[in-house]
Amino acid sequence: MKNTLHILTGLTLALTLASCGKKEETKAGAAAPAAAAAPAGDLVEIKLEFPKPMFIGTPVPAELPNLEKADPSKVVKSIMVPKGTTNLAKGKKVTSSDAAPIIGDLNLVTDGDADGADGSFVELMPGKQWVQIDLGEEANIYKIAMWHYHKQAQAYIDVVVQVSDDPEFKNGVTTLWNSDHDDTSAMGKGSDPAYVETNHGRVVDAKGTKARYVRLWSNGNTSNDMNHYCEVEVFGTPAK
Amino acid sequence: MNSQPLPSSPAPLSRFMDRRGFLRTSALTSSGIYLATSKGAIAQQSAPGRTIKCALVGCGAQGNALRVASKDVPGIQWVAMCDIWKFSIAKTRGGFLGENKHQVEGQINIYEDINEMLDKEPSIEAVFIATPDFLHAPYSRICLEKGKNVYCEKMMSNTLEGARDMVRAGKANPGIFQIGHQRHSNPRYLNLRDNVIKPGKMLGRITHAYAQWNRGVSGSAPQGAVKGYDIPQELLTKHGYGSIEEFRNWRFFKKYGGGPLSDLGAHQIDMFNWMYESTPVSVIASGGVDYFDGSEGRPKFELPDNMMCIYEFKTPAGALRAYYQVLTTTGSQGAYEKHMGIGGTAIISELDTNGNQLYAEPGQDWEAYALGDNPAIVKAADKAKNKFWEHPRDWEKPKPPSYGAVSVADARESKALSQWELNRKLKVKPHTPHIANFIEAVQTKNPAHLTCNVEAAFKSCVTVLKAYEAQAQGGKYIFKPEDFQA
Repeated sequence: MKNTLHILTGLTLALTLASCGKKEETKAGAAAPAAAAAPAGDLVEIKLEFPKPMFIGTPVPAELPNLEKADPSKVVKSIMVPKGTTNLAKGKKVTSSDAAPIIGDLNLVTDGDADGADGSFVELMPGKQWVQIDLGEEANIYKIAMWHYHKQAQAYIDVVVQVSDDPEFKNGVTTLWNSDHDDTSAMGKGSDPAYVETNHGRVVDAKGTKARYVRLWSNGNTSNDMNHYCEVEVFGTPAK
Repeated sequence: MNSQPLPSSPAPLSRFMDRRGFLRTSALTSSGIYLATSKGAIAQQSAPGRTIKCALVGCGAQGNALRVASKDVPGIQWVAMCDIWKFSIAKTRGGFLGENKHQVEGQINIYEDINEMLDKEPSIEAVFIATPDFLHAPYSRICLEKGKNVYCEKMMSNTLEGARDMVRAGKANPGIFQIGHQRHSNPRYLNLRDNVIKPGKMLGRITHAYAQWNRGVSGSAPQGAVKGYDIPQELLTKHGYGSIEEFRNWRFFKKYGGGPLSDLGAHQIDMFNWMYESTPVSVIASGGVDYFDGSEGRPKFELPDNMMCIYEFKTPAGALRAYYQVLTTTGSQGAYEKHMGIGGTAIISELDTNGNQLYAEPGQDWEAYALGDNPAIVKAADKAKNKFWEHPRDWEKPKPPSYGAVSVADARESKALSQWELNRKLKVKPHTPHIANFIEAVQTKNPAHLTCNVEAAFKSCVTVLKAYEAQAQGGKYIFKPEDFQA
């Protein structure tokens, strides 16, 4: 992936995220499609299932320049999506930049269990790492819900969520979330905030983007250099 | 009285203080004298700074706390780790590959059995032991007898027999033997002891001390089996555990640990002894298994889930009474220690956000202590941090009713105390200076450099465990001089 990023370094594309009105630079994805419009037609509500809160120990003060102030009133508890939308990620195959995780198996990312207990998360090697979910076929992706490790109060660094039809993420990459405020990961500066993990996870608006693969990056967290995932849910419908 | 000589080496630890504190400490003041003394002592041994090959035995929460804290200690090379649980091994391996990668060359070798590790890794010089308490004594002896240096977590043992054996093993073998009462090396605590509490200093005669560690039920909940990381029963049995539940929750059981009074209280009860260079003459204790009693779906503790102890010390200045409480049913007011003298009061905790307050009694003039390049105290920066303990209150002598408005102050209420803070902050983990102290002692082969050797820690172990005798007897335990003899 590093080579890919070098090749694409000069190709900058301004991508307008319709839902939040933010401008974001991205270097990945030479032919990235414009974000799809918000889903049309009848919308239904899906309530998110939250695992139990698990804070233990003494919180380590998280210090990041783009760390948002926690606001429980803004927790997304349900999503509005077109009829027929399901969690397409459940049980799907997961690959990673770390093929032999430190703790746990990659299938924990899509096993339907967002619990933060030991045995329910996968821990990847230190530094910049990714996990990737193959939805099996192209899909209309409306929302992505992600839970990093939430047993301790910590924020994950340089979180980038991308979708593409290219399993190598060389072409047609759409960036849906980017909290890499200083472009450490060389995928363009992001304006999304870093946040302290809780059992509520974080919901990313995918705006109906068509893609088969979902890739999530992180670069350690405010407590240590490791990367963790309890669960990733991808809400969408088959594209065909 | 404790005959243990006071350790005298806070200054090398100053590199862990914030930059401002470091520059000040290096410049002059009494701490500067310590720095010179310590460097001189190290120079005589001629081997400071050399790399020490280290192993970690016991890779659970405490073992990982040591690993994390060690990352800022120069001179450590991690070469091996040992645990029977693959989950702990995996987690610790990840930490060595990440946070501690600068302290690893090649790979970390993994062992399930300490004897096998020591046999196959003859280059190991120092072993960090962070197992359940019941293994501290046998594992320390194994390591010392094989010529290793040992850093063993507190409390020394869950039994006095085990603790005595550790003292004997320490005496019979030449290895450096440090016990993990890390406050002994913490510049904040050293500042409090040396510049605020010592006789003739700011607090005057200390008449009372108080300490607590309150941890709520969520922090005391039982640990269960972990999906994908089972331990075969035969392996548990081989290493002395009755079941996976006992392995995961060893702190609940007398066979393996000492309960909350040991896990949490040992740090702070040890502080009473250390701060006042003394050992108690008696203890009154009350406590029991009052909440975690196995009913209504709650786990069952074998050891008291709450304890309240009152120790009496006879210091050269007179009686000193020290009250300690540990509760597992509330996290109210957290953990801190409080020292109360006729001249003022000090509150301290390992995290300065939880305890860093000083209060001067009326009539005390502490301004001079806040002068100079690296003063021991500074004016309280934020009165909000003083919380409820000594909240600022307007105080005015009540006026006679004929004056009109009557003061809100009650004539019997004392004037609010003036507020100060300790002028030392750590920029590293609380364990880091203590590990550094151990490594320095190993590098220089100088046991006198240690801030918490096994003899000193033994006295604290006795002080803690005898509280259970008082509690069991429903009353008071009178310490005998021989109690503190190993």
